[in-house]
Amino acid sequence: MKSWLTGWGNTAPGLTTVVNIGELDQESWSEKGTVIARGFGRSYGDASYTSGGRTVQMSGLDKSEFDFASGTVLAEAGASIEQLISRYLPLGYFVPVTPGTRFVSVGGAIAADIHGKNHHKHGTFGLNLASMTVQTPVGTFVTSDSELRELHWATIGGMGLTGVIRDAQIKMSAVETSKIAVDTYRISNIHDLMQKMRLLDEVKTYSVAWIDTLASGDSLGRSVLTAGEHATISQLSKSDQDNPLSVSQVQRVAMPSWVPSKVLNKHTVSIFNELWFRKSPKFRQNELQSISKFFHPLDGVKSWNNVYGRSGFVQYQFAIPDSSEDFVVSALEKFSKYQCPVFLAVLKRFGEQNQGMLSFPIKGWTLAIDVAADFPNLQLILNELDDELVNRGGRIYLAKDSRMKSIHVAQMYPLIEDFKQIRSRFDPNGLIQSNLSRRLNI
Amino acid sequence: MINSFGDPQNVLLIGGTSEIGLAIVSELAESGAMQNVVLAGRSEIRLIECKNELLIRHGDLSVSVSELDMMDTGQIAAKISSLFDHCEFDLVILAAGMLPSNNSAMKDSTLTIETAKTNFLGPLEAASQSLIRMMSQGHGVILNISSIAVVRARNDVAIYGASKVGLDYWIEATGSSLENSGVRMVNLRPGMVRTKMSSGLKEPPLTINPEDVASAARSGLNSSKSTIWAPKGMLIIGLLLKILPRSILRKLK
Repeated sequence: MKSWLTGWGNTAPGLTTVVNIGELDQESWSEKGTVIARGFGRSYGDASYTSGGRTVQMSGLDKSEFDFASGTVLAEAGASIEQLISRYLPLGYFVPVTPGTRFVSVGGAIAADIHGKNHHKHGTFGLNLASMTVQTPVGTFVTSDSELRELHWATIGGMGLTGVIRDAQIKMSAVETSKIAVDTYRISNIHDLMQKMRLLDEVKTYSVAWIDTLASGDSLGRSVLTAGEHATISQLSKSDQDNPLSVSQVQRVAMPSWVPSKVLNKHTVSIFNELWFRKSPKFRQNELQSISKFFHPLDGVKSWNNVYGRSGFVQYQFAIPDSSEDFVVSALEKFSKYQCPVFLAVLKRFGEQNQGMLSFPIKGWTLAIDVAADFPNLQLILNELDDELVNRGGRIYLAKDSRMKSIHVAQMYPLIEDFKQIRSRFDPNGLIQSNLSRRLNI
Repeated sequence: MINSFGDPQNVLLIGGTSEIGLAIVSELAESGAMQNVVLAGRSEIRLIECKNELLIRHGDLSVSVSELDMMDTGQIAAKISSLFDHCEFDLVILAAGMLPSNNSAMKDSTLTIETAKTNFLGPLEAASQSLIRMMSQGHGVILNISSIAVVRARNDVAIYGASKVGLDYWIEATGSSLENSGVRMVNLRPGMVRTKMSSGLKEPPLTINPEDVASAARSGLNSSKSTIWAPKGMLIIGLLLKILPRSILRKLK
């Protein structure tokens, strides 16, 4: 059945035939047309569908099993982070890495090699795998750091382009409670923010800053910084101590699909940002927050991406090494100068890079910004930023990209040729393609 | 492959020295999405000149030239296919054309047939193969530079008009069957445009420049229209031309 699919940004629709994984046996690889797997479609651009080909819907494949001896979960690729949390947090185990939404599949988490607020301490999702199973046109293989390691590290961060991930063994983190003890700081400018975040690297597991990008001048980069640790039982209130691992169901309201695209404009966003900034305490320590509140605040609004209306939106997320951290300031200055109505921007720290050839994080910083796709001249503004980003040793996150130029890929991801070689061994006829790989010539 | 802003990344201009075609490419390149352009045409020297002019305005583009002669009917499909083997085109612009003096063509059947091949058969073969490849890609737009002349038979552009009518009809008819394919075909119908091809001809009211055609093309491509008029007012002129009796039209001239 042919369907028009998009990513989370609701842009660049592609007409594709949606199939179940059961329809993709080894024989049907050789049918004409390209193939790509899709989880929940939470990548922002065009990574999870292929025009004119077959998009394999994985979300039904969601079984999982916990092994107490090794503290690992063997999960099918369509299982979501939400399912892993609701199934195993009550047993005292949390996912090693969670992104800003729980509605991401295990396959997607590996393919995008997702990071969370704790990258500087625990790395990416892909770094926390014991092994996985990948189905390719030439066969199905179990990979790990010691077994078929080239395919393993090509698949981690490989945007689904080495094959269909079938399942993975995930090393879970033992936790005492389902709460996070959170410190909150209201920060008045970007320089103070970056200094504070660098200091917190050593002492806090989780940290993230939400920046008001409309603030300028001395207030450029004014933000709310939150940093947290998994709460211990002794930190809980007496009544919560009886049930320290309780996970409550999150109430979700739905953003309607008919929201007109100009709801988020410079005026409404600046009012929102002002209220939100003022509401935050100057400093608060050890506040207990639920997992959903700390990690997944936007999940409370189902289909929040609809707030951008029909023309959709673009997320610009880059990683930059510590030595080029002034680029973060340049980027904020540029968005402020053009008065892009950005609905909050997120700054995180990154620790060491892993061996994933297309894995996004490099030691330094990452800034993620959402902008409405119909903002005038946005393409040119972002192209200018990319030109500078590439010269400063940075890269764009492929899981968020919907518009960068293919010529920048090789400079951003120097191992791209190694990646392509490994890919061609397991997919000699180039069947596995997404609109992303076709757009960027990956 | 289009990006989130909807602008084409890879463009094939058939009739690679066409002023209108190049103006459209240049206009679309302004937004910053375009990366690869192939200029396909008859004269390699002229194509390279046009490539260099395009690069002066848009230094970031990767522009290549390819020899393709609309008179080579029967050979064109294979050449188009091989261009598509190297690049997934988001947009193919059919801009090849010639406007012979009608008096000369009436006395020279070779010239008449040459016009038919250049304006109709050649581009038809190119468009037909482009359509096949785009259907397999699951996406793409074919933009035909048609003309107001298709609306009503006129004696001073008999063979030009006839050849434009054939292609325009095919584009419109085939285009209307493409609903579930991801592919789109569009007729762009300008009135009189100031180009080398029309130089020396009398300028009627509403004569425009190639840049104006390009601007109309850009808005039209961003909509879901299957026919674009340039300027917009040409739609009314077209309707009038279609319905007015010949005796009145002759008097209006």
